[in-house]
Amino acid sequence: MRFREAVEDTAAIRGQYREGLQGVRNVDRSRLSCATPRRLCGSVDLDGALRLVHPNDPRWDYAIGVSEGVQNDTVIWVEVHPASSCHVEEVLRKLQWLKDWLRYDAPAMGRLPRHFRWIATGTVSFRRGSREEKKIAQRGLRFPVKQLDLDSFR
Amino acid sequence: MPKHNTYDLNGARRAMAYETLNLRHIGPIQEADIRFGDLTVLVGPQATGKSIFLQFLKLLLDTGPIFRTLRKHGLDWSKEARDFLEVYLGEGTGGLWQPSKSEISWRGDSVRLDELVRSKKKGEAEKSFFIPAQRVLTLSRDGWLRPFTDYKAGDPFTVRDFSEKLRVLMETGLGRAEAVYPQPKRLKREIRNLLSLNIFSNFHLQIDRTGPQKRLLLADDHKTKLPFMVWSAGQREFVPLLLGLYWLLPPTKVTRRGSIQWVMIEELEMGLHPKAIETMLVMILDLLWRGYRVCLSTHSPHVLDLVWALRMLRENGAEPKAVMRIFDVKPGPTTLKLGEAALKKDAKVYYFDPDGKTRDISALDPAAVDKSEAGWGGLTELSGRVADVVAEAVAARGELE
Repeated sequence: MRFREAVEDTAAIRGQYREGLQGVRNVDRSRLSCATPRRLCGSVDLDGALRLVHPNDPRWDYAIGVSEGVQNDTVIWVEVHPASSCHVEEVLRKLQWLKDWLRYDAPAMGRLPRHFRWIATGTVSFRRGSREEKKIAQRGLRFPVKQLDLDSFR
Repeated sequence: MPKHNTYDLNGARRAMAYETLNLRHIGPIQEADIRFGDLTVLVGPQATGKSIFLQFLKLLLDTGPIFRTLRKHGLDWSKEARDFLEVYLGEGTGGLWQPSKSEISWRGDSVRLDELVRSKKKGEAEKSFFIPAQRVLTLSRDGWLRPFTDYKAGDPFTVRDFSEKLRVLMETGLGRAEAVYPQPKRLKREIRNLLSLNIFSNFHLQIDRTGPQKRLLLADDHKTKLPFMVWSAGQREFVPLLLGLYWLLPPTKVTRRGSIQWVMIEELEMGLHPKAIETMLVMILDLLWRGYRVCLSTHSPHVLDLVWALRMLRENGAEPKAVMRIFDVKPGPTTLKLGEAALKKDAKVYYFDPDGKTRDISALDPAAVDKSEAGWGGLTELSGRVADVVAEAVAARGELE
């Protein structure tokens, strides 16, 4: 399935599909790099799209589609958030919210292959190999980066 | 020469010149550019030149005393750089020096090794103390310190010199006491407690004088006596390290030993459990508090944990007691002094890349784009990759939990 079809198939975000990285707020776009933009197949500002419906929920930030050729598109689920160790639980709550949302409200999006990524704003205050990293890995989230290279998803 | 601010033990800022050493084309080293902090840590894979670098640092600090010691023991190097390295670094190392390419710059000044080895320097006082990686060799099978002359001419100077210094220490002041460890006037009480808990398991290090040859034994209160050959690997590694630290920490109110300003320790973690490494790190803080400039080479991420933690604590205005919490040590007047000093020290970390160049990774930013900095010179790379692979497997799972 294509990323765009999955977005349009999901009532909560229908009409929120944007070409390339246009669904990503300007302030966050510089945190993403991509040397082969033709592989990008759209993006959605999930946080903005669901603000009215889920105003008090720990919403996740973005969905970015990456083309895998003839196969299903892949979704990179991106959260832009401070990354000191005290933010780990907060981000894990957001991740759990995203998983629940995919499961119950967005099954078409949930069926696409996925990666969960955390982009750090500011200093990362826990280290690789730490308890915190193992904790987030167990839930499917990789160590925060300052710059996310979208070409690395191949 | 550039200046930067640092602090003395009372916390007063003082300006000091950067201490720098630059090496070019010496063995595996192509370009090593190091600016020393109060604490300098060298990391990188095996055979990338960390040990060669530290031995050159020792040579430049202590040219006179090294020549004096070598000559005292009848060693000669025909006044040629390569011959000298065969004697100083050890057999087979002369070829590391390439006369047309190799270069040294110390504190911003070019140093000609061929001229240095021809010089008659001998009068200066020693400025550094070197604890080599091969320290376990300093104890004979019988458990006593080997003299300088017990080694072959081609054995590294730093090993022979360290061994001889410990032997003299044991034959004189320290060796007259019954118990080498613990000794009430040596080491801070809190450090002794950590050593007993994490390394000696309530054993004492004693000198046995019952036979014709003195020897070191580990003994407990139930009259169990363990000779050197039955010590654990960690205890065998640690005892020479402990004696080296005794050498540096005189049992008087004087904080440092004589003219010694620099301490180089190779792979302090060798053979030690992480709890024992923790104890060693507290001892490193003690050395820093005493005003020694410390240079370490290491393969242990725990050493970098400390450097990183001190940076983060300093940047976030943490109190000295936070430093002691790292080691689970109750803050008291003595340990708080160590914590306070540690927060004022300047630490540098360099990665010795297999491509022969060094990189300054002092920021140790785990999210850095530079992989050698993010992976702390490879020390956290495997753990990071393990977590990445697990995270991908969990994320890719069909069913969401």
